[in-house]
Amino acid sequence: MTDYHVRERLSKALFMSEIKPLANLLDPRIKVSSPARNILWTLLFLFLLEIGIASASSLSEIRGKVNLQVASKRKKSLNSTQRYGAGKKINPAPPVEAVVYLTGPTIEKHLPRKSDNSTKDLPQEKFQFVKYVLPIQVGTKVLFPNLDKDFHNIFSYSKTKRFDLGRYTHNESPPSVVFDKPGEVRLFCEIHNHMRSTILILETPYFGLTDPEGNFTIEGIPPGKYTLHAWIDRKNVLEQPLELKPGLTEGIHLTKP
Amino acid sequence: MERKTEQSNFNPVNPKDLERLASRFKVGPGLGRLLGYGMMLLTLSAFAQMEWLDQVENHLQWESPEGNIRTKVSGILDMEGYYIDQEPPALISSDDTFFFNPRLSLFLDAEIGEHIYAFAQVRADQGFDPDYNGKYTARFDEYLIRYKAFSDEHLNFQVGKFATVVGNWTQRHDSWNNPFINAPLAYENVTTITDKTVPGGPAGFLGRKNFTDNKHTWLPLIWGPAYTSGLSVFGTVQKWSYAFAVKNASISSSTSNWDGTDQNWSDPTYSGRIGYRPNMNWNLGSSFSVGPYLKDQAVPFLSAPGPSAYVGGPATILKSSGKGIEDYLQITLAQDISFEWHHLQLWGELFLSRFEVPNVGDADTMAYFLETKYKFSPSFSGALRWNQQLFDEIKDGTGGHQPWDRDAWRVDTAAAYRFNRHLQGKLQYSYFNQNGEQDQGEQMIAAQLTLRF
Repeated sequence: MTDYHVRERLSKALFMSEIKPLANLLDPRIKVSSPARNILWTLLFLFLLEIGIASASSLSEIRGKVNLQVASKRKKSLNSTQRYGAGKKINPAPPVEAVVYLTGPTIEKHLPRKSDNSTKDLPQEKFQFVKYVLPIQVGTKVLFPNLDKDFHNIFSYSKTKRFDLGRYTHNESPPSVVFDKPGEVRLFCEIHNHMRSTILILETPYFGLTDPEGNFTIEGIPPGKYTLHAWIDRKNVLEQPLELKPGLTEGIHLTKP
Repeated sequence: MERKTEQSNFNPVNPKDLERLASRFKVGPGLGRLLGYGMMLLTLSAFAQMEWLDQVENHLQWESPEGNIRTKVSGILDMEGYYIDQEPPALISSDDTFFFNPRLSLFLDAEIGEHIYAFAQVRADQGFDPDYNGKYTARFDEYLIRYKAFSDEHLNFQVGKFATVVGNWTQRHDSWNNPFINAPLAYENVTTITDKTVPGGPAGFLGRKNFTDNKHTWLPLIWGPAYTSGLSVFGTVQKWSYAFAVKNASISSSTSNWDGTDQNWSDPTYSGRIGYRPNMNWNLGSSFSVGPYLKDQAVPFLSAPGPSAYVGGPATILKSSGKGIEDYLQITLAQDISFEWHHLQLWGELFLSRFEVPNVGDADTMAYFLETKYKFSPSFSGALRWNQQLFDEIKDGTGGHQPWDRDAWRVDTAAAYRFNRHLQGKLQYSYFNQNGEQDQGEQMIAAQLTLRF
């Protein structure tokens, strides 16, 4: 969109809003001296910035804790590569973290879609995925960098996304997959049977990850009625209805009834 | 009333019942059996789709409260069917053109602290090599305990009954990781060498190749993964890996000699492999194995004159040599190579082996294979393998020379489909060609369904 078109649209909008003098000044078809127009642009920018700050302060933020004890106890990984040779030293499996996310009619009305080039990383290091779970929005591309000096072969047979990346090393540019459907994708490595992780693909843009103690924060949420979900594992998804007002809502505690 | 009882005993996944049903509806017994197997496969397939197999997998892992002892039980259930046009090939024994071979393998992996690792494999089937005699047995195929000297992989000591260090096939020989249903030709092609008796001379030895393979007496160059007993030291240092083993029996020894109690330890076999990995994609290795291959049953034929046991050749009178079994070695040198990149995997192995045969001399053979696997999609893969084994000439005792066994080649093709993380199906076609007039196992079609948990 050219500068001309931007001005034309803004002018039309201001005209419709009965702010006619300002509309005339912005209209590219009406001749106005250049310094005057520059001053007007600056004023308009400051005006829009003020509106932005004002609307931002009207958003909600939630903080709380998910009871991660409901998840089945995570056992230490038993190295699967050592039966027929010297097994590599492996890291412990990453700690359990929960994905918290909001759903509700408010979101469906104002759902901002991720752009196609949104990208996240899920590396493999010391023969483990670095994350227990990775939450992403639909349409996100995930890169799978291999940080080990050995092959990895990440695959998933989940219905949401079925793929096999083949064998790749740390010297190559990491392979990637675009996740275009919401759902749960369970990840494994064909070579290292003990490696596991999950990608949770969400439609909502309002989500976050807890820390290993279960604490979470989600910011920038429009006030309204929602359901708060906490995905701990495929068998343990907790839910709680929420009505958010502008500002901070604290002390949310999600646990199994 | 009688009919009611018969119906109530009907088992839809029992091929025999299906066969009876087929005969009632005038369907041929072969088709009935096939229907039965088809239904069994469908049942197994539905079984494997269930998510609870994931839960079973998790529940079969245990760790002590402090987390310093960890154990995991896992398993593989194989359902194999073979269709053979003539005599069954390689180490397979059956009188039928079509036979079914189920196999259950259970594995126990255990870690005690950071330095001790133990592993055991128990298998229940109709013999280590498919032997359709209707007798099911269970046995420990592997058991070992390992001490890791350091926290990394530099130095390990291991004792028990475990796969040979020679070559690179053993690391992928289980049915889930093997792109084929069978082993490469070098690991299963029965030669005219036997460990139970000795030939009276070249004529008797050369005469064996005119008979059908005597699979209960004759030996391949290397018998499958050769789970013989002993101890080994191995490790990896940067781009190099090493493994040396002292074991109770030679790599060609039959399964009945693999246990530590099966052979006395006076004549061990020494094996080793040095591996070099110039980069991630390539893996190169050189192996050796040296040790006596004759077993105690052969001793009377070495030490005293007498008639030879029938081993496919004419009975002859032996001369006393005054030598023992330790004087007749199997000496093997091997080279292996592998390459991996994205969806492509390649493997190759070359074996040069010499059997020192009493009253005959050195019987040399060369075997090799080249194998490739390519994944066409997340589930579907194809594999192709070219195998060949050539036999050197020996003196025939009449002033001439003859190859001591019949040269052979085999091409194996296979397609595999992974339904999910627990279920895999494979279909294989093999064409085998051997010099001479004896036809045995020219064509083989095999199917295998593997359930892993």
